[in-house]
Amino acid sequence: MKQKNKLTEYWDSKRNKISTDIGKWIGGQEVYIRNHPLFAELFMQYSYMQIQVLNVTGKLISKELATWLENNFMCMSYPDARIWCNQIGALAGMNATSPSAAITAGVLAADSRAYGGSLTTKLAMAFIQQAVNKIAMGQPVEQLIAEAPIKHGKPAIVGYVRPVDKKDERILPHQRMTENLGFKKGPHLRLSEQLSTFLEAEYGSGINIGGYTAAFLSDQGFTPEEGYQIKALCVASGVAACFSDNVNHKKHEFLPKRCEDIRYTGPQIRSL
Amino acid sequence: MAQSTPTDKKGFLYSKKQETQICYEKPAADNPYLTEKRYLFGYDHEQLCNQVSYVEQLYLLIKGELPNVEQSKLLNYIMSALLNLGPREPCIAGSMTAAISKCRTEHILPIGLQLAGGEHNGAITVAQCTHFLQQHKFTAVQPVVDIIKTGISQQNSSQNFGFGQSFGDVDPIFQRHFAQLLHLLPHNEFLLWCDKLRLALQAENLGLLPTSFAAIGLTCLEIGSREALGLYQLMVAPGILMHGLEQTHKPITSAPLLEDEQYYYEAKK
Repeated sequence: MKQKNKLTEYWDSKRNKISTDIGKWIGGQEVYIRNHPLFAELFMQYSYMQIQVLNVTGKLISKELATWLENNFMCMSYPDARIWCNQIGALAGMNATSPSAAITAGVLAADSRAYGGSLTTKLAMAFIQQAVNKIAMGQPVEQLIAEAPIKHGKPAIVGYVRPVDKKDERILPHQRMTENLGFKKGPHLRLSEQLSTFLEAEYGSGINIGGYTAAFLSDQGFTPEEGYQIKALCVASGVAACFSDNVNHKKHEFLPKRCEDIRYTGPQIRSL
Repeated sequence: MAQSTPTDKKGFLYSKKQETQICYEKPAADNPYLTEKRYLFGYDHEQLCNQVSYVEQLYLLIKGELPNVEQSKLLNYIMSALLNLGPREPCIAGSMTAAISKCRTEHILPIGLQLAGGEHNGAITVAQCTHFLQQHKFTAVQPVVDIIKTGISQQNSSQNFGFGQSFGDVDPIFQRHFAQLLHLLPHNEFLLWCDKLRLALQAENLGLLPTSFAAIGLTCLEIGSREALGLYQLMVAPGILMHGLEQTHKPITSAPLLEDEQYYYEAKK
Protein backbone atom coordinates (compact mmCIF):
# COMPACT_ATOMS: atom_id res chain seq x y z
CA MET A 1 0.00 0.00 0.00
CA LYS A 2 1.09 3.60 -0.61
CA GLN A 3 2.96 5.68 1.93
CA LYS A 4 0.97 8.33 3.81
CA ASN A 5 2.82 11.30 2.27
CA LYS A 6 2.17 10.05 -1.25
CA LEU A 7 -1.50 9.31 -0.78
CA THR A 8 -2.95 12.19 -2.72
CA GLU A 9 -0.44 12.58 -5.57
CA TYR A 10 -2.42 10.31 -7.83
CA TRP A 11 -5.69 12.13 -7.15
CA ASP A 12 -4.03 15.55 -7.41
CA SER A 13 -2.79 14.62 -10.90
CA LYS A 14 -6.39 14.14 -12.01
CA ARG A 15 -8.00 17.02 -10.12
CA ASN A 16 -9.73 19.68 -12.23
CA LYS A 17 -8.68 18.14 -15.52
CA ILE A 18 -9.78 15.52 -18.02
CA SER A 19 -7.23 13.46 -19.95
CA THR A 20 -8.58 11.36 -22.78
CA ASP A 21 -8.01 9.92 -26.23
CA ILE A 22 -11.65 9.72 -27.32
CA GLY A 23 -11.96 13.22 -28.72
CA LYS A 24 -12.34 16.90 -28.09
CA TRP A 25 -14.79 19.68 -28.85
CA ILE A 26 -13.00 22.89 -29.84
CA GLY A 27 -15.84 25.35 -29.49
CA GLY A 28 -16.60 27.34 -32.65
CA GLN A 29 -14.08 25.37 -34.73
CA GLU A 30 -13.99 21.60 -34.90
CA VAL A 31 -14.67 18.35 -33.06
CA TYR A 32 -12.25 15.46 -33.04
CA ILE A 33 -13.62 11.94 -32.71
CA ARG A 34 -10.78 9.49 -32.10
CA ASN A 35 -8.42 11.64 -34.17
CA HIS A 36 -10.94 12.15 -37.00
CA PRO A 37 -12.15 15.74 -37.52
CA LEU A 38 -15.94 15.66 -37.60
CA PHE A 39 -16.59 18.53 -40.01
CA ALA A 40 -13.45 18.25 -42.15
CA GLU A 41 -13.66 14.47 -42.65
CA LEU A 42 -16.68 12.62 -41.28
CA PHE A 43 -19.70 14.87 -41.73
CA MET A 44 -21.83 13.92 -44.76
CA GLN A 45 -19.28 11.22 -45.66
CA TYR A 46 -19.94 8.58 -43.02
CA SER A 47 -23.16 7.17 -41.60
CA TYR A 48 -24.46 7.69 -38.09
CA MET A 49 -23.78 4.02 -37.33
CA GLN A 50 -20.15 4.38 -38.44
CA ILE A 51 -19.72 7.33 -36.09
CA GLN A 52 -21.46 5.51 -33.26
CA VAL A 53 -19.09 2.56 -33.57
CA LEU A 54 -16.14 4.96 -33.91
CA ASN A 55 -17.17 6.71 -30.70
CA VAL A 56 -17.58 3.46 -28.81
CA THR A 57 -14.64 1.45 -30.08
CA GLY A 58 -12.27 3.80 -31.90
CA LYS A 59 -12.76 1.71 -35.05
CA LEU A 60 -13.94 3.42 -38.23
CA ILE A 61 -15.87 0.51 -39.69
CA SER A 62 -16.73 -0.04 -43.36
CA LYS A 63 -20.01 1.17 -44.86
CA GLU A 64 -20.96 -2.48 -45.34
CA LEU A 65 -20.50 -3.31 -41.69
CA ALA A 66 -22.41 -0.17 -40.68
CA THR A 67 -25.22 -1.18 -43.06
CA TRP A 68 -25.25 -4.63 -41.49
CA LEU A 69 -25.53 -3.15 -37.99
CA GLU A 70 -28.19 -0.64 -38.98
CA ASN A 71 -30.36 -3.37 -40.47
CA ASN A 72 -29.70 -5.52 -37.43
CA PHE A 73 -30.97 -2.67 -35.22
CA MET A 74 -34.16 -2.55 -37.34
CA CYS A 75 -34.84 -6.14 -36.36
CA MET A 76 -34.28 -5.58 -32.64
CA SER A 77 -37.06 -3.13 -32.05
CA TYR A 78 -40.55 -4.13 -33.09
CA PRO A 79 -43.56 -1.84 -32.53
CA ASP A 80 -45.41 -4.45 -30.45
CA ALA A 81 -46.28 -3.66 -26.85
CA ARG A 82 -46.43 -7.31 -25.83
CA ILE A 83 -42.62 -7.30 -25.80
CA TRP A 84 -41.45 -6.49 -22.30
CA CYS A 85 -39.38 -3.36 -22.97
CA ASN A 86 -42.08 -1.98 -25.23
CA GLN A 87 -44.64 -2.52 -22.51
CA ILE A 88 -42.52 -0.20 -20.37
CA GLY A 89 -42.71 2.36 -23.18
CA ALA A 90 -46.50 1.95 -23.38
CA LEU A 91 -46.91 2.32 -19.61
CA ALA A 92 -44.64 5.38 -19.67
CA GLY A 93 -46.74 6.84 -22.47
CA MET A 94 -49.91 6.22 -20.53
CA ASN A 95 -48.32 7.91 -17.51
CA ALA A 96 -47.32 10.81 -19.79
CA THR A 97 -43.63 10.74 -18.93
CA SER A 98 -41.17 12.53 -21.17
CA PRO A 99 -40.22 10.50 -24.26
CA SER A 100 -36.64 10.39 -23.04
CA ALA A 101 -37.75 8.83 -19.76
CA ALA A 102 -39.89 6.30 -21.61
CA ILE A 103 -37.17 5.29 -24.05
CA THR A 104 -34.41 5.06 -21.47
CA ALA A 105 -36.71 3.08 -19.17
CA GLY A 106 -37.46 0.68 -22.01
CA VAL A 107 -33.79 0.42 -22.90
CA LEU A 108 -33.01 -0.38 -19.26
CA ALA A 109 -35.73 -3.03 -19.20
CA ALA A 110 -34.16 -4.69 -22.24
CA ASP A 111 -30.75 -4.70 -20.52
CA SER A 112 -31.70 -8.23 -19.63
CA ARG A 113 -30.05 -11.61 -19.58
CA ALA A 114 -33.18 -13.10 -21.21
CA TYR A 115 -33.74 -10.92 -24.29
CA GLY A 116 -33.13 -7.47 -25.73
CA GLY A 117 -29.88 -7.49 -27.67
CA SER A 118 -27.70 -5.46 -25.32
CA LEU A 119 -26.61 -7.61 -22.35
CA THR A 120 -27.52 -10.70 -24.37
CA THR A 121 -25.07 -9.60 -27.08
CA LYS A 122 -22.27 -9.42 -24.52
CA LEU A 123 -23.17 -12.79 -23.00
CA ALA A 124 -23.63 -14.48 -26.36
CA MET A 125 -20.35 -13.04 -27.71
CA ALA A 126 -18.49 -14.20 -24.60
CA PHE A 127 -20.01 -17.66 -25.05
CA ILE A 128 -19.23 -18.06 -28.75
CA GLN A 129 -15.69 -16.68 -28.39
CA GLN A 130 -14.96 -19.11 -25.55
CA ALA A 131 -16.65 -21.89 -27.49
CA VAL A 132 -14.47 -21.33 -30.57
CA ASN A 133 -11.42 -21.58 -28.33
CA LYS A 134 -12.69 -24.79 -26.71
CA ILE A 135 -13.46 -26.38 -30.08
CA ALA A 136 -9.99 -25.40 -31.29
CA MET A 137 -8.61 -27.26 -28.28
CA GLY A 138 -10.49 -30.39 -29.30
CA GLN A 139 -13.73 -30.22 -27.32
CA PRO A 140 -16.67 -31.74 -29.24
CA VAL A 141 -19.84 -29.70 -29.83
CA GLU A 142 -21.90 -32.20 -27.83
CA GLN A 143 -19.77 -31.64 -24.74
CA LEU A 144 -19.97 -27.87 -25.17
CA ILE A 145 -23.74 -28.09 -25.05
CA ALA A 146 -23.75 -30.62 -22.23
CA GLU A 147 -21.91 -28.07 -20.05
CA ALA A 148 -24.85 -25.66 -20.25
CA PRO A 149 -27.50 -25.69 -17.50
CA ILE A 150 -30.95 -26.95 -18.49
CA LYS A 151 -33.80 -24.45 -18.21
CA HIS A 152 -37.32 -24.91 -19.55
CA GLY A 153 -36.18 -28.34 -20.73
CA LYS A 154 -33.47 -26.95 -23.00
CA PRO A 155 -29.78 -26.03 -22.65
CA ALA A 156 -29.66 -22.42 -21.49
CA ILE A 157 -27.16 -20.94 -23.95
CA VAL A 158 -27.62 -17.26 -24.66
CA GLY A 159 -28.33 -16.88 -28.35
CA TYR A 160 -29.81 -20.32 -28.96
CA VAL A 161 -33.32 -20.32 -27.61
CA ARG A 162 -35.93 -17.58 -27.40
CA PRO A 163 -38.21 -16.87 -24.44
CA VAL A 164 -41.04 -17.57 -26.86
CA ASP A 165 -41.16 -20.84 -28.76
CA LYS A 166 -41.23 -19.49 -32.27
CA LYS A 167 -38.63 -19.85 -34.99
CA ASP A 168 -36.64 -16.65 -35.27
CA GLU A 169 -37.82 -14.86 -38.41
CA ARG A 170 -34.66 -12.73 -38.47
CA ILE A 171 -32.10 -15.44 -39.16
CA LEU A 172 -32.68 -16.01 -42.86
CA PRO A 173 -32.76 -12.28 -43.74
CA HIS A 174 -29.57 -11.80 -41.74
CA GLN A 175 -27.87 -14.71 -43.50
CA ARG A 176 -28.80 -13.17 -46.85
CA MET A 177 -27.65 -9.74 -45.73
CA THR A 178 -24.30 -11.11 -44.58
CA GLU A 179 -23.77 -12.74 -47.95
CA ASN A 180 -25.08 -9.82 -50.02
CA LEU A 181 -22.79 -7.36 -48.25
CA GLY A 182 -19.83 -9.57 -49.08
CA PHE A 183 -18.96 -10.92 -45.62
CA LYS A 184 -17.41 -14.37 -45.39
CA LYS A 185 -18.29 -16.74 -42.57
CA GLY A 186 -15.58 -16.80 -39.94
CA PRO A 187 -14.98 -19.38 -37.21
CA HIS A 188 -17.68 -17.96 -34.92
CA LEU A 189 -20.47 -18.03 -37.52
CA ARG A 190 -19.40 -21.50 -38.63
CA LEU A 191 -19.51 -22.84 -35.08
CA SER A 192 -22.82 -21.10 -34.40
CA GLU A 193 -24.32 -22.95 -37.38
CA GLN A 194 -23.06 -26.25 -36.00
CA LEU A 195 -24.51 -25.48 -32.58
CA SER A 196 -27.81 -24.40 -34.11
CA THR A 197 -28.12 -27.56 -36.19
CA PHE A 198 -27.39 -29.74 -33.17
CA LEU A 199 -29.81 -27.89 -30.87
CA GLU A 200 -32.54 -27.83 -33.51
CA ALA A 201 -32.25 -31.58 -33.96
CA GLU A 202 -32.08 -32.39 -30.24
CA TYR A 203 -34.29 -29.74 -28.67
CA GLY A 204 -36.32 -28.21 -31.52
CA SER A 205 -34.78 -24.81 -30.86
CA GLY A 206 -31.94 -23.39 -32.89
CA ILE A 207 -30.06 -20.13 -33.09
CA ASN A 208 -31.79 -16.83 -32.42
CA ILE A 209 -30.84 -13.37 -33.61
CA GLY A 210 -28.71 -12.79 -30.50
CA GLY A 211 -26.62 -15.84 -31.27
CA TYR A 212 -26.28 -14.92 -34.93
CA THR A 213 -25.34 -11.31 -34.16
CA ALA A 214 -22.85 -12.41 -31.52
CA ALA A 215 -21.13 -14.79 -33.92
CA PHE A 216 -21.06 -12.23 -36.73
CA LEU A 217 -19.70 -9.41 -34.54
CA SER A 218 -17.10 -11.81 -33.11
CA ASP A 219 -15.99 -12.65 -36.64
CA GLN A 220 -15.65 -8.89 -37.24
CA GLY A 221 -13.19 -8.66 -34.35
CA PHE A 222 -15.33 -6.97 -31.70
CA THR A 223 -15.01 -7.85 -28.02
CA PRO A 224 -18.12 -8.76 -25.98
CA GLU A 225 -17.88 -5.42 -24.14
CA GLU A 226 -17.73 -3.54 -27.46
CA GLY A 227 -20.74 -5.49 -28.68
CA TYR A 228 -22.63 -4.55 -25.51
CA GLN A 229 -21.84 -0.86 -25.96
CA ILE A 230 -22.67 -0.82 -29.66
CA LYS A 231 -26.01 -2.55 -29.13
CA ALA A 232 -26.98 -0.79 -25.88
CA LEU A 233 -29.79 1.28 -27.41
CA CYS A 234 -31.00 -1.20 -30.01
CA VAL A 235 -34.59 -1.50 -28.72
CA ALA A 236 -35.13 2.25 -28.53
CA SER A 237 -37.30 2.76 -31.59
CA GLY A 238 -39.85 0.06 -30.71
CA VAL A 239 -40.13 1.48 -27.20
CA ALA A 240 -40.67 4.94 -28.73
CA ALA A 241 -43.42 3.55 -30.97
CA CYS A 242 -45.26 2.07 -28.00
CA PHE A 243 -44.77 5.29 -26.04
CA SER A 244 -46.28 7.38 -28.83
CA ASP A 245 -49.18 4.93 -29.18
CA ASN A 246 -50.17 5.51 -25.56
CA VAL A 247 -49.06 9.02 -24.75
CA ASN A 248 -52.50 10.55 -25.15
CA HIS A 249 -54.37 7.73 -23.48
CA LYS A 250 -56.07 7.93 -20.11
CA LYS A 251 -54.37 6.52 -17.01
CA HIS A 252 -54.89 2.73 -16.76
CA GLU A 253 -56.17 2.53 -20.36
CA PHE A 254 -53.27 0.32 -21.46
CA LEU A 255 -53.94 -3.23 -20.28
CA PRO A 256 -56.17 -2.31 -17.30
CA LYS A 257 -56.26 -5.00 -14.63
CA ARG A 258 -58.98 -5.91 -12.20
CA CYS A 259 -57.86 -6.52 -8.62
CA GLU A 260 -58.42 -10.23 -9.26
CA ASP A 261 -56.02 -10.18 -12.22
CA ILE A 262 -53.12 -10.21 -9.77
CA ARG A 263 -52.90 -13.50 -7.90
CA TYR A 264 -52.13 -12.89 -4.22
CA THR A 265 -50.00 -15.60 -2.65
CA GLY A 266 -49.12 -13.99 0.69
CA PRO A 267 -50.44 -14.48 4.23
CA GLN A 268 -54.13 -14.32 5.02
CA ILE A 269 -55.52 -11.04 6.33
CA ARG A 270 -54.26 -10.51 9.90
CA SER A 271 -54.37 -7.91 12.67
CA LEU A 272 -51.54 -5.92 14.18
CA MET B 1 -57.35 -16.09 -5.43
CA ALA B 2 -57.80 -18.95 -7.92
CA GLN B 3 -54.79 -20.77 -9.39
CA SER B 4 -53.69 -19.39 -12.71
CA THR B 5 -53.34 -21.67 -15.71
CA PRO B 6 -50.09 -21.45 -17.61
CA THR B 7 -50.26 -20.77 -21.33
CA ASP B 8 -49.03 -23.87 -23.16
CA LYS B 9 -46.12 -22.80 -25.36
CA LYS B 10 -43.87 -25.86 -25.47
CA GLY B 11 -40.91 -25.19 -23.13
CA PHE B 12 -41.97 -21.72 -22.04
CA LEU B 13 -45.04 -21.75 -19.84
CA TYR B 14 -46.37 -18.24 -19.38
CA SER B 15 -48.79 -17.70 -16.52
CA LYS B 16 -52.22 -16.19 -17.16
CA LYS B 17 -51.80 -13.98 -14.09
CA GLN B 18 -48.90 -12.26 -12.40
CA GLU B 19 -48.61 -13.10 -8.74
CA THR B 20 -47.36 -11.45 -5.57
CA GLN B 21 -47.18 -12.29 -1.92
CA ILE B 22 -46.62 -8.67 -0.92
CA CYS B 23 -49.94 -7.03 -1.59
CA TYR B 24 -53.58 -8.04 -1.70
CA GLU B 25 -56.02 -5.53 -3.13
CA LYS B 26 -59.61 -6.08 -2.11
CA PRO B 27 -61.90 -4.74 -4.84
CA ALA B 28 -64.83 -2.43 -4.24
CA ALA B 29 -68.17 -4.24 -4.24
CA ASP B 30 -69.43 -2.52 -7.39
CA ASN B 31 -66.18 -1.94 -9.30
CA PRO B 32 -63.66 -4.78 -9.73
CA TYR B 33 -60.94 -2.34 -10.85
CA LEU B 34 -61.18 -0.05 -7.81
CA THR B 35 -59.27 -1.04 -4.68
CA GLU B 36 -61.40 -0.80 -1.54
CA LYS B 37 -58.65 -1.94 0.84
CA ARG B 38 -54.98 -2.73 0.42
CA TYR B 39 -53.16 -5.29 2.58
CA LEU B 40 -49.40 -5.70 2.90
CA PHE B 41 -48.43 -9.25 3.82
CA GLY B 42 -51.90 -9.57 5.31
CA TYR B 43 -51.90 -6.31 7.32
CA ASP B 44 -54.31 -3.49 6.55
CA HIS B 45 -52.06 -0.81 5.07
CA GLU B 46 -54.02 2.06 6.58
CA GLN B 47 -53.69 0.47 10.01
CA LEU B 48 -49.94 0.08 9.42
CA CYS B 49 -49.70 3.76 8.53
CA ASN B 50 -51.30 4.68 11.83
CA GLN B 51 -49.40 2.31 14.09
CA VAL B 52 -46.11 1.31 12.50
CA SER B 53 -43.10 3.43 11.46
CA TYR B 54 -41.93 3.80 7.86
CA VAL B 55 -38.80 1.73 8.58
CA GLU B 56 -40.89 -1.05 10.12
CA GLN B 57 -43.17 -1.09 7.09
CA LEU B 58 -40.13 -1.23 4.82
CA TYR B 59 -38.83 -4.23 6.79
CA LEU B 60 -42.26 -5.83 6.39
CA LEU B 61 -42.06 -5.33 2.62
CA ILE B 62 -38.60 -6.90 2.52
CA LYS B 63 -39.08 -9.79 4.91
CA GLY B 64 -42.82 -10.40 5.04
CA GLU B 65 -42.94 -9.92 8.82
CA LEU B 66 -42.70 -6.89 11.07
CA PRO B 67 -39.32 -6.41 12.77
CA ASN B 68 -38.53 -6.70 16.46
CA VAL B 69 -37.07 -3.65 18.22
CA GLU B 70 -33.44 -4.59 17.47
CA GLN B 71 -34.08 -5.28 13.80
CA SER B 72 -35.96 -2.02 13.46
CA LYS B 73 -33.15 -0.04 15.10
CA LEU B 74 -30.54 -1.74 12.93
CA LEU B 75 -32.37 -1.04 9.66
CA ASN B 76 -33.05 2.52 10.75
CA TYR B 77 -29.35 3.03 11.48
CA ILE B 78 -28.18 1.54 8.16
CA MET B 79 -30.64 3.72 6.25
CA SER B 80 -29.59 6.81 8.18
CA ALA B 81 -25.88 6.15 7.60
CA LEU B 82 -26.39 5.84 3.84
CA LEU B 83 -28.85 8.74 3.57
CA ASN B 84 -26.23 11.08 2.15
CA LEU B 85 -22.93 9.84 0.74
CA GLY B 86 -21.79 13.39 0.06
CA PRO B 87 -21.73 15.61 -3.03
CA ARG B 88 -18.55 14.02 -4.47
CA GLU B 89 -19.94 10.47 -4.56
CA PRO B 90 -20.48 9.76 -8.29
CA CYS B 91 -24.19 8.98 -7.97
CA ILE B 92 -24.79 12.28 -6.19
CA ALA B 93 -22.34 14.23 -8.36
CA GLY B 94 -24.27 12.87 -11.35
CA SER B 95 -27.63 14.03 -10.05
CA MET B 96 -26.14 17.45 -9.28
CA THR B 97 -24.64 17.71 -12.77
CA ALA B 98 -27.95 16.71 -14.37
CA ALA B 99 -29.84 19.17 -12.21
CA ILE B 100 -27.55 22.15 -12.75
CA SER B 101 -27.72 21.55 -16.52
CA LYS B 102 -31.51 21.88 -16.26
CA CYS B 103 -32.64 18.35 -17.01
CA ARG B 104 -36.27 17.65 -16.20
CA THR B 105 -36.66 17.48 -12.45
CA GLU B 106 -38.28 14.05 -12.48
CA HIS B 107 -35.14 12.56 -14.05
CA ILE B 108 -32.78 13.60 -11.26
CA LEU B 109 -33.44 10.70 -8.93
CA PRO B 110 -33.44 7.96 -11.64
CA ILE B 111 -30.18 9.33 -13.06
CA GLY B 112 -28.48 9.13 -9.68
CA LEU B 113 -29.93 5.71 -8.98
CA GLN B 114 -28.54 4.38 -12.26
CA LEU B 115 -25.10 5.61 -11.28
CA ALA B 116 -25.52 4.07 -7.81
CA GLY B 117 -26.16 0.74 -9.49
CA GLY B 118 -22.60 0.21 -10.64
CA GLU B 119 -20.05 -2.49 -10.07
CA HIS B 120 -17.35 -0.12 -8.75
CA ASN B 121 -18.49 0.18 -5.15
CA GLY B 122 -22.11 0.57 -6.12
CA ALA B 123 -25.23 -1.51 -5.68
CA ILE B 124 -23.77 -4.48 -7.59
CA THR B 125 -20.89 -4.49 -5.12
CA VAL B 126 -23.37 -4.63 -2.24
CA ALA B 127 -24.89 -7.77 -3.75
CA GLN B 128 -21.44 -9.28 -4.29
CA CYS B 129 -20.40 -8.41 -0.74
CA THR B 130 -23.61 -9.83 0.72
CA HIS B 131 -23.03 -13.09 -1.13
CA PHE B 132 -19.37 -13.09 -0.09
CA LEU B 133 -20.25 -12.56 3.58
CA GLN B 134 -22.86 -15.31 3.49
CA GLN B 135 -20.22 -17.66 2.09
CA HIS B 136 -17.38 -16.76 4.44
CA LYS B 137 -18.98 -15.65 7.72
CA PHE B 138 -17.58 -17.31 10.84
CA THR B 139 -14.56 -18.69 8.95
CA ALA B 140 -10.99 -17.65 9.84
CA VAL B 141 -10.63 -13.99 8.91
CA GLN B 142 -7.09 -14.00 7.51
CA PRO B 143 -7.94 -16.07 4.41
CA VAL B 144 -10.92 -13.74 3.85
CA VAL B 145 -8.59 -10.73 4.07
CA ASP B 146 -6.25 -12.44 1.60
CA ILE B 147 -9.09 -12.88 -0.91
CA ILE B 148 -10.01 -9.21 -0.56
CA LYS B 149 -6.38 -8.12 -0.86
CA THR B 150 -5.92 -10.23 -3.98
CA GLY B 151 -8.99 -8.65 -5.54
CA ILE B 152 -7.77 -5.16 -4.71
CA SER B 153 -4.25 -5.80 -5.98
CA GLN B 154 -5.70 -7.03 -9.29
CA GLN B 155 -7.79 -3.85 -9.42
CA ASN B 156 -10.71 -6.17 -9.98
CA SER B 157 -13.64 -4.26 -8.59
CA SER B 158 -15.88 -7.33 -8.56
CA GLN B 159 -13.40 -9.08 -6.30
CA ASN B 160 -12.84 -6.46 -3.59
CA PHE B 161 -16.36 -7.05 -2.26
CA GLY B 162 -16.79 -3.45 -1.16
CA PHE B 163 -13.76 -3.36 1.12
CA GLY B 164 -10.66 -1.30 0.52
CA GLN B 165 -9.66 2.34 0.55
CA SER B 166 -11.20 5.66 -0.26
CA PHE B 167 -8.71 7.98 -2.00
CA GLY B 168 -5.85 5.82 -0.79
CA ASP B 169 -6.83 5.53 2.86
CA VAL B 170 -9.33 3.91 5.17
CA ASP B 171 -12.73 5.62 5.17
CA PRO B 172 -13.08 6.88 8.77
CA ILE B 173 -16.82 7.53 8.62
CA PHE B 174 -17.89 4.01 7.76
CA GLN B 175 -15.57 2.44 10.33
CA ARG B 176 -17.43 4.53 12.92
CA HIS B 177 -20.81 3.62 11.44
CA PHE B 178 -19.86 -0.03 11.75
CA ALA B 179 -18.89 0.55 15.40
CA GLN B 180 -22.40 1.92 15.94
CA LEU B 181 -23.95 -1.25 14.50
CA LEU B 182 -21.88 -3.20 16.98
CA HIS B 183 -22.98 -0.83 19.73
CA LEU B 184 -26.63 -1.54 18.83
CA LEU B 185 -26.12 -5.31 18.80
CA PRO B 186 -23.02 -5.93 20.97
CA HIS B 187 -23.57 -9.68 21.24
CA ASN B 188 -24.43 -10.39 17.63
CA GLU B 189 -22.07 -13.15 16.51
CA PHE B 190 -22.03 -12.07 12.89
CA LEU B 191 -21.16 -8.47 13.74
CA LEU B 192 -18.47 -9.68 16.13
CA TRP B 193 -16.98 -11.75 13.31
CA CYS B 194 -17.18 -8.71 11.00
CA ASP B 195 -15.33 -6.71 13.65
CA LYS B 196 -12.49 -9.24 13.58
CA LEU B 197 -12.45 -8.90 9.80
CA ARG B 198 -12.42 -5.10 10.13
CA LEU B 199 -9.44 -5.22 12.49
CA ALA B 200 -7.53 -7.59 10.22
CA LEU B 201 -8.23 -5.31 7.26
CA GLN B 202 -7.19 -2.26 9.27
CA ALA B 203 -3.75 -3.82 9.78
CA GLU B 204 -3.43 -3.71 5.98
CA ASN B 205 -4.64 -0.09 5.77
CA LEU B 206 -7.92 -1.35 4.36
CA GLY B 207 -11.43 -0.99 5.69
CA LEU B 208 -15.15 -0.84 5.17
CA LEU B 209 -16.65 1.29 2.43
CA PRO B 210 -20.32 2.30 2.21
CA THR B 211 -21.06 -0.79 0.13
CA SER B 212 -19.53 -3.29 2.56
CA PHE B 213 -21.12 -1.43 5.49
CA ALA B 214 -24.52 -1.81 3.78
CA ALA B 215 -23.86 -5.46 3.00
CA ILE B 216 -22.81 -6.21 6.59
CA GLY B 217 -25.90 -4.54 8.02
CA LEU B 218 -28.28 -6.19 5.56
CA THR B 219 -26.65 -9.60 5.98
CA CYS B 220 -27.07 -9.18 9.73
CA LEU B 221 -30.80 -8.77 9.00
CA GLU B 222 -30.64 -11.93 6.86
CA ILE B 223 -31.54 -10.00 3.73
CA GLY B 224 -30.53 -11.67 0.44
CA SER B 225 -28.04 -10.29 -2.05
CA ARG B 226 -30.56 -9.26 -4.72
CA GLU B 227 -32.68 -7.44 -2.18
CA ALA B 228 -29.54 -5.84 -0.73
CA LEU B 229 -28.63 -4.50 -4.18
CA GLY B 230 -31.97 -2.74 -4.58
CA LEU B 231 -32.12 -1.56 -0.99
CA TYR B 232 -28.72 0.11 -1.34
CA GLN B 233 -30.14 2.18 -4.19
CA LEU B 234 -33.18 3.00 -2.07
CA MET B 235 -31.08 3.95 0.93
CA VAL B 236 -28.76 6.32 -0.95
CA ALA B 237 -31.71 7.88 -2.79
CA PRO B 238 -32.43 10.78 -0.38
CA GLY B 239 -28.93 12.23 -0.81
CA ILE B 240 -29.11 11.83 -4.59
CA LEU B 241 -32.48 13.53 -4.71
CA MET B 242 -31.92 16.44 -2.38
CA HIS B 243 -28.44 17.35 -3.65
CA GLY B 244 -29.91 17.32 -7.15
CA LEU B 245 -32.99 19.31 -6.26
CA GLU B 246 -30.88 21.93 -4.51
CA GLN B 247 -29.00 22.52 -7.77
CA THR B 248 -32.20 23.04 -9.77
CA HIS B 249 -32.59 26.40 -8.03
CA LYS B 250 -29.17 27.62 -9.22
CA PRO B 251 -28.07 28.95 -12.63
CA ILE B 252 -26.19 26.62 -14.98
CA THR B 253 -23.08 28.76 -14.46
CA SER B 254 -22.91 28.01 -10.75
CA ALA B 255 -20.92 24.81 -11.32
CA PRO B 256 -17.51 24.59 -13.06
CA LEU B 257 -17.22 23.81 -16.76
CA LEU B 258 -13.60 22.90 -17.46
CA GLU B 259 -11.67 25.25 -19.75
CA ASP B 260 -9.88 24.00 -22.89
CA GLU B 261 -6.54 24.14 -21.09
CA GLN B 262 -7.89 21.77 -18.44
CA TYR B 263 -8.80 19.21 -21.11
CA TYR B 264 -5.94 17.06 -22.38
CA TYR B 265 -6.69 15.24 -25.60
CA GLU B 266 -4.15 12.97 -27.19
CA ALA B 267 -5.44 10.71 -29.91
CA LYS B 268 -4.10 7.20 -30.26
CA LYS B 269 -2.01 6.84 -33.38
